[in-house]
Amino acid sequence: MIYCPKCGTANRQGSKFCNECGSPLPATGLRCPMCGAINPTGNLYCDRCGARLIPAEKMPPEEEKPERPSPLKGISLPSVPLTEEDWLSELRAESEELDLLPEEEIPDRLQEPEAPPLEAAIPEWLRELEAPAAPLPPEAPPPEAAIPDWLRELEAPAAPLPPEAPPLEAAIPDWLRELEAPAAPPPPEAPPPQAAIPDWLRELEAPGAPLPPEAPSPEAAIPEWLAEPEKTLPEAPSPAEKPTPPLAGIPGPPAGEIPDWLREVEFAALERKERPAQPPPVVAVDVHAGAPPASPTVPPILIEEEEILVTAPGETPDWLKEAPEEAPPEFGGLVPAEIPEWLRALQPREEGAVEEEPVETEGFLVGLRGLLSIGKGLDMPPTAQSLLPRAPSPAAVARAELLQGLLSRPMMTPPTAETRAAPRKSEWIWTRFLVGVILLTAILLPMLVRLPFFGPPTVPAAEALFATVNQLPENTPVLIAWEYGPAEADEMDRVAGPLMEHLLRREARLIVVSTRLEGPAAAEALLTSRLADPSERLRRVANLGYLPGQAAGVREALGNLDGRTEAVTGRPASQLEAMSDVHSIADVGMVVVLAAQPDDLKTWLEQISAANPNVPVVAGVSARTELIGTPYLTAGQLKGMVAGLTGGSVYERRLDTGRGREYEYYLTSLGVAQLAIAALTVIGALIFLVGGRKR
Amino acid sequence: MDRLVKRILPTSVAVGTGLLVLLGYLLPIPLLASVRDELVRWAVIIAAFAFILGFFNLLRVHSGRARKPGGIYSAILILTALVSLGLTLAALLLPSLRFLGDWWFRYVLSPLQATVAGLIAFVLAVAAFRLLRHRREAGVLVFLVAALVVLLGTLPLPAPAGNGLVSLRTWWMNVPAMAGMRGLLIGVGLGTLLVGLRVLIGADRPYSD
Repeated sequence: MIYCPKCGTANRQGSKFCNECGSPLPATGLRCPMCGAINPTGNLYCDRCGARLIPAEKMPPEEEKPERPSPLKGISLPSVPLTEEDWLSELRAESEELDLLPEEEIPDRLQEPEAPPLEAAIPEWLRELEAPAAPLPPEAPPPEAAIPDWLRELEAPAAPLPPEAPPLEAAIPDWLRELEAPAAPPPPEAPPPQAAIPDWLRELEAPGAPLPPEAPSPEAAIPEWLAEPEKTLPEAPSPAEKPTPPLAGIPGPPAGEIPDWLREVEFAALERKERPAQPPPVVAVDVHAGAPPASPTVPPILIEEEEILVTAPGETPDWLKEAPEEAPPEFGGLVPAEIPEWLRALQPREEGAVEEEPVETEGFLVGLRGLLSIGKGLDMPPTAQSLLPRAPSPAAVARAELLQGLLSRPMMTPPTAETRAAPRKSEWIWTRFLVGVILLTAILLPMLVRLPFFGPPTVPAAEALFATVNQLPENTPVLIAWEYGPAEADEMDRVAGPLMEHLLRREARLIVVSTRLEGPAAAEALLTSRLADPSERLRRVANLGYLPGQAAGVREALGNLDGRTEAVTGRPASQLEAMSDVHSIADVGMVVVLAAQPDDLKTWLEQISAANPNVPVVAGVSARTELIGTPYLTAGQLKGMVAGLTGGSVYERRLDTGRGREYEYYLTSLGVAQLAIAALTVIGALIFLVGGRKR
Repeated sequence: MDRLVKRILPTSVAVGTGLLVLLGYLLPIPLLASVRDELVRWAVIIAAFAFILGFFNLLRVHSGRARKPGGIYSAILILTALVSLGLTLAALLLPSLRFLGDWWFRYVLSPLQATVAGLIAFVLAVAAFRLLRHRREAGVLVFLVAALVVLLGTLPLPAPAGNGLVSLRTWWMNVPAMAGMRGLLIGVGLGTLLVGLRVLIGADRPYSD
């Protein structure tokens, strides 16, 4: 029940506003005794830490009274936050009910004001702990035999035990027996109002108070059955040895904190793996060892299964042992006692004072309240910690500063067409004009003036090539790789011309292939100019055309020369006279590679050496391919090489084809152009070295 | 399935084909040599087909560009390509029309390509003149000296007059230039070997995505 703080009306548990006056009622949330989180009413377990909030099923008092004659109940933390007025008023009501009981139905110790019962001074949940006050209905007083012996002993401690009940005597545990003894001597005087709270409870609130000499230290006060509940729980003693189940869960921590023994109990509870989804069942445990389980008058004590902590006989907690000794001898006027801090913390707070749950500030659960927080050690896995941003390296800082500096610079206006063209135009005009004039002079000068300075030099490689061709027998098939087109024809024709004429003079049969598209046409143009007679051309030349596939095409052609088709006539190569007895690279007497590009020369040399390393290979190359051909020449893979206009002129003069004047003109033009370009390079270098570098 | 088609199957075919061709070169087994030659023939056919595809792709790309502003050059390219193709096919189908193809080659393609190639000399001459305009580093100076040596060393001078320059050029070509070129060739050879091995073991898959 919740009493309205304004009008005092009792409201139903869980109400937010008073049914009478409409005033807001105190918050009805349940504060977790472990973590302090506020849980909604009705929760059995804390949403944050999973601790038990309500120790046992709370039934309406109206229904409990007739159905719960058992005086004891499992102890646990209070399930309903009670205000001071709550439990005190209930205490008063109960004491009034006790007064109404018949004299013979009230136990002696309850009739004596000098021996106040414990439940009169403690809250309801503590009163239920000992449960002596559960009044029996007056119209159905329990028979004498229905009162358990141990309770009878409590009521009449001074009376000697009947000799006919030794088995019961043995069944009473020592701790209960110790409860009786101290209650017997009445206190000499009435306790002061402060004594309304039992001393044993006051001692628990004031841990600093000196303990009696027989009281053990706090550590020693923790019995083994509390320290190791897990061990004792599964091993239930046999009925003969089983003592009366002790009270489970011990309330009454020192002021403001939970005692160690209670914390250990909670730890033991938390360590249990399985958390029941429903409240644990209430089981009936017969506290009387050996007694029939279904006593008609004394039902078994209701104890929560989870809270049963079985102890060995004689291990009653000391605070319970001392409780009767420290209990006030009499219960006088009920004076509101000071509520301990730990007990006050369990009371419901005002609505406005409800502590708000922490709000999630990061992650995808931002803004949600009441999330379970994982421990610090589990906040982030080690791998994630390694990915945390670290201090930037100096290089990164330098790059960032550079970028920042670039960004902070003022924007440069791009040059307009006028501002850009002005200096470039004049510079480019005179530079290009100068170069163009010099090159034109180099081309035209040999036509106008005969310059005796230039002539064919001595080229040993060309001489070696000439000698190799000279050694060819007549009618020898020669494979010619025609690897140049019209773009290089002006140079390469001066190289290939004398060489082809030499081969023709040697009555060689020419088999032409090319990996370049223009190769067959360039070959046909040159060979037609050297062989004016078409029939002679058809008899001595087989233009097998283009070889697709680069190196693969070369490799395939070297092994299958007669399987191709003549490019000019379209006839099969096997039917050509020039291809008689020629099937592959093994049937040719020499290979001539006419390459304007270095890669073409390399490809052919590699494939020929793999297909038939014994066939002699010579090359006619451009001036720029000479450099890559020289290693093959010095290695012997090339038997001879003629390169560029200079090499062609040497071969022409050696062959004496009658085109000497033409080659003289080319050589003169080439020499003048080379000298002019060299002079331009030096002049340009001097100008820009002296004049400075320009951007 | 997608992985099988795009990764596993092409890799298996490439590795298997490469190993067969390689073993055909290394092992003197006639069967392997026959398989090797057949596979190489297939490669040539595929390369020819790829060339045809490339030709039509060129036409498709430039046909799109020809419709845009400034697409006159693409239009000329398409026109000349079709003319060359038509003349070549005509020469193959009708030998009497072969002269048209010869004329096209001799008086259109050859002058145009020679002109473009001749521009290289002009551009190189201008670049040599402006070599130190922007950069003055040691490498540039070395390049400048080397170019001068080659230019002067390849001058077509007769034997008595050019013996000195020819000797200088010969030394230059046979010692420093040869050293550099051999290094390049060795590097190319090792690179080719490495690329071949990587393709053979499937580490490089230039044939698949």
